[in-house]
Amino acid sequence: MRYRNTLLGIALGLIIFGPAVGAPVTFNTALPVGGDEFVARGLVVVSQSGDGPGADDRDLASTSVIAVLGYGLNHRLALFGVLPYVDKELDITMNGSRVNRSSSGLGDASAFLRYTLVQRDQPGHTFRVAPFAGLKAPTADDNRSDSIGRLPPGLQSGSGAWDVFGGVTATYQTLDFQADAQASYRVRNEANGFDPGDEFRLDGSLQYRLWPQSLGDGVPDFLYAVLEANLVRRDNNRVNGADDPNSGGTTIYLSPGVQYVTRRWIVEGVVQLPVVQNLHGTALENDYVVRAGFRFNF
Amino acid sequence: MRKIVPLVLSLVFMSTVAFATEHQVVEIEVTGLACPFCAYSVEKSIKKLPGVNCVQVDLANGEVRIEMRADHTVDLEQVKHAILNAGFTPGEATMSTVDE
Repeated sequence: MRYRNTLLGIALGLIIFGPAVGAPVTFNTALPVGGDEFVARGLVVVSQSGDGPGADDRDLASTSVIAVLGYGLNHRLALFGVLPYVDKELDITMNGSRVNRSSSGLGDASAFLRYTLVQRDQPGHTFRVAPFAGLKAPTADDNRSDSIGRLPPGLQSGSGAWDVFGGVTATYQTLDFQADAQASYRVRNEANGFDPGDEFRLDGSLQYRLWPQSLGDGVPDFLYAVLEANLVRRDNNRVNGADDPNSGGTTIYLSPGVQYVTRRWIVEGVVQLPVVQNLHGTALENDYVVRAGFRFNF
Repeated sequence: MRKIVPLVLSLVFMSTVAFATEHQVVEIEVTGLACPFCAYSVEKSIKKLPGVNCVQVDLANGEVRIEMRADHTVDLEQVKHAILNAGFTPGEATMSTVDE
């Protein structure tokens, strides 16, 4: 039981606000989607978790392929849809023998609205603030089983519950660099007797243009160095109404990476390295998360 | 015959001058523009306007050059609206005419 709660937290953490348009790789941005315009994003997220004080020697590998479509309802209001495909595999020692449990399939779909509340444009730079709010619907299977029995919540493709989330993101972009920050909260609701803890996040991102070193005429491609930081705080899970002491806690990631930006395409990748993991009890610690993907303006 | 040949040549020359195609060109400042991905959004939005032949963005100077087709005149308000609709702010514009 104890590993279920942590697994769910990690799995849901993979499909948070990261898959949206804009420059930060691991979270949202306040840069615009034009009115009646589409922006698409594809993202692969590979996560490995295996460190932890538990005696069951848990090892969780997860790969998510996430598709995002953004549409500008007008120049200030944009609608985003997110659909992940998730593959999860857990190795664990149970009763002295090593057991492998896994699942794969479409995950829960999400949608959110983002509104540009503040827009301060100057030649060659802009500052924007955009609150956002959305829903995650229980569209995926949350009742899968294997030969051992029903899979734990963290290995299910879906959570079985409606979640709500919201926050505010700010972006300062110049021709030379870009800085983004975001604060967000996700209310995660109960399904099947399991109530995953709510999640609070603080994110920051800095992108610095490495190439070209000086700008000429026209619109050259940009190569950015990226450094992001993410603080993720999760409440304890509740199982059948009781707190699980081996779940929740705080993780801080540092995420170096690169981003190549053309007029129509962005190709990007970061490695999220957990530098602080202050988790409760025997909650499973993360080893690393790799995010790589593209964005397409069409 | 001697009179007809110069007359025809004169008419051909005059018609060439008279029908030299003129294109309206608008150069407009766009503020808030700071990356290639955003530049394409502006370009795409302006290209939807009727009669636009070519859009060139100068990212470093924050300027957009719009060349109209010969048979179209530019509507500056529409251009500014297209820039706003892309999520950016239009600034001062200058209009000129070029011959092709």
